[in-house]
Amino acid sequence: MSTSPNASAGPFDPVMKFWQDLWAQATSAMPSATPPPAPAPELLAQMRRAFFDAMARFCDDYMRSPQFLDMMKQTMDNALAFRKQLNEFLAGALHASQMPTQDDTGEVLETLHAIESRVLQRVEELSHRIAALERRKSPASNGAGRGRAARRTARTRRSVRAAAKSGRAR
Amino acid sequence: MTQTQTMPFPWFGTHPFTPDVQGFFERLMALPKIMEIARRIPKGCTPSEIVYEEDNLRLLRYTWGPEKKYATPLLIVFALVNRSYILDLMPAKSVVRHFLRAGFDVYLIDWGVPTYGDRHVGLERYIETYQHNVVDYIRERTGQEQINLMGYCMGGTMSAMYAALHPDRIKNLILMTAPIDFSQRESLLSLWSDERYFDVDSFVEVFGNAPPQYLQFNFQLLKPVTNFVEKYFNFYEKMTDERFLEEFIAMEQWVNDNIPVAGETFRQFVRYGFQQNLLIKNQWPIGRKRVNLRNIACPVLNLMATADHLVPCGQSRGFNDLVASKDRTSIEFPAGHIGLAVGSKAQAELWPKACDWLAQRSDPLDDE
Repeated sequence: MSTSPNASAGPFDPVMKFWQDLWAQATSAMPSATPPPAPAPELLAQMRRAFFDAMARFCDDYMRSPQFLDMMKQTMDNALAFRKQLNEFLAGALHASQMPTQDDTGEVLETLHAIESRVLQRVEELSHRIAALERRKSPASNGAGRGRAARRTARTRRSVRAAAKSGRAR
Repeated sequence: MTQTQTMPFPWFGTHPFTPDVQGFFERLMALPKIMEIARRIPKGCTPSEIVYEEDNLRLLRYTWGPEKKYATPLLIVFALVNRSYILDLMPAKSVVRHFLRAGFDVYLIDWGVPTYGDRHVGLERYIETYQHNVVDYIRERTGQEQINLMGYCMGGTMSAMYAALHPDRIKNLILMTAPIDFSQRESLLSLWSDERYFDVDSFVEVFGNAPPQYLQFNFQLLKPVTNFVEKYFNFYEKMTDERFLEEFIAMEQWVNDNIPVAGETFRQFVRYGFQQNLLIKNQWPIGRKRVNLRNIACPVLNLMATADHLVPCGQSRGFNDLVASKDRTSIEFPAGHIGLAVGSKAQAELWPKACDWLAQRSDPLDDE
C-alpha cells in the first residue's frame, strides 16, 4: 500500500509546515562550530517573547482554518455520540435496579417549578384584585395603591420561593 | 595527572540556558509559601452581607467603605459562566471598592451554581424573575424608584436586556465588555459556535447543562500559548516573589472556579446570540416579549477592552448607536477581557473615571 503525494491536506499539515519552517530558520541561523557569546538575559526574554508571539499567531490562524473547524466538529460529534450511549446505558442500568435517574429527579423539579409558577401567577392576580379594590375604596391614592400592590406581589413571590426553598432543604 | 574532558555540547556550562541549579532549589524552597498563600487567599475580599436569596441566587450588599453619598444604589450583574468575585478579587484589584469609596451603596448578584434540575432554566427566568426580583428588592430596601445597573460580559448583555425590558427602573447603565453584536467574527468563540460547526441542541440534550470543564477548556483554548505554556514559564520565574504569587494564585483560583451554565440559557445564548444575532435586530425573545434596545433611554457608559480576545470591541461598539439614550459614553481601554476589571492600569485610570461618570448622574443622598 502506498500513499499518494497528491493526497488532500490533512488536519495536521499546517502544524507540520510551521515546525518545518521554524526548524529551517533555526538551522540556517545556527553557527557551525564555535559557540556564540552568551546572550544577555533581556535578549533571551525578547527571543522567548518573539517565539511565543509567533506561536500564538500560528495557533490563532490554525484554529480559524477549515481543517481545525472540521476536526473540532468531528470530535464534538463523536464525544456527543459516546456520551449519549453512556447516558442511555447508565439510565437503563439504574432503571433495571429500580433507582431514579437524573432525568427522573429533573422531572420532579420541573413539576415543582410548574406548580410554583401557577401559585405565583394566582398570587399576582389576587394582588392586582386587591390593588383594584383599594383604588375603588380611596380613588385619591391610585398610584400609591398600584405601587403597594407591586411591592406586595414581589414580597409574596419571595416568601413563596423562600418557603419552597426551605421545603426543598428539608 | 589531570585529564581534560571535552563536553559533548560546547555551549553547555557557560551558556545562560544552563540549568540554574541554585534558582531551582530557591523555588523548591518557596513551595510551602505557595501553599500557605493559596490557603489564605479569600474568594472576594470586601466584607458583605447576604440580603436576598432566591433559588441558587444570593444578593450581596457590601458593608465596607466610607459613608454613602448617593441615594441611587448600584447593582452589579456578572456573567453566568464564572464566579462574580473577580470584581472584588483583591483589595488593590477591586472594582467594587472603587464604587464603595466613591460613596455608592453596592450590590452584587452571585448567581450560584445551577444543578442538573436547572437545565431548563432559560434567560427569561434569569432576567424576568431573578434579576427583576432583585431590582424590586433593592428598590424596596432603598426606597428608590430607579437603580444604577452595571453588567460585565454576559452579565452586560443581560443587563442591557433588562434595561430594555424595564427602562423605568434603570437610572444609569454601565456595560463592561458586553457582547451585543454577534455578527463580528474577530473572536474565535464566534467562529466555533457557528451552526455549521456546533450543534447546540444536541449538546444541551446530551449534557443537560454546559459543563464547566468544557467552557473553561474553550476559554483557555482561545489563547493556548498564553494559557498552557507562557503562564507557567512566568510562574516559574517569579515564584519567589510573594506579591506576584498572591496575584497569580488569586487569579488562578478564580479562573479554575468555573460553574456550569443552565442548558436552556446556554442554548438561547448560542442560538439567539452567536448564531442568529437577534439582539441588534431587536428580536431577541424573552418569554413573550422581544428585547428592543431602542427602549433604553437612560445614560449609558459602554466600557470595552481593546485587547479583549473573548468579546472584541467590535461586538460592543455598536451598542451606543442602538439605544435611544442621548447621554452615551464609550471608553475603549487598552486591556484584556479580565484586565479591564483587575489590571493595574484599569484600576488606576479607568475605574476612577467610571465612578465619576456614575456620580455625576446619580441622586445625592439627602442629609436629614
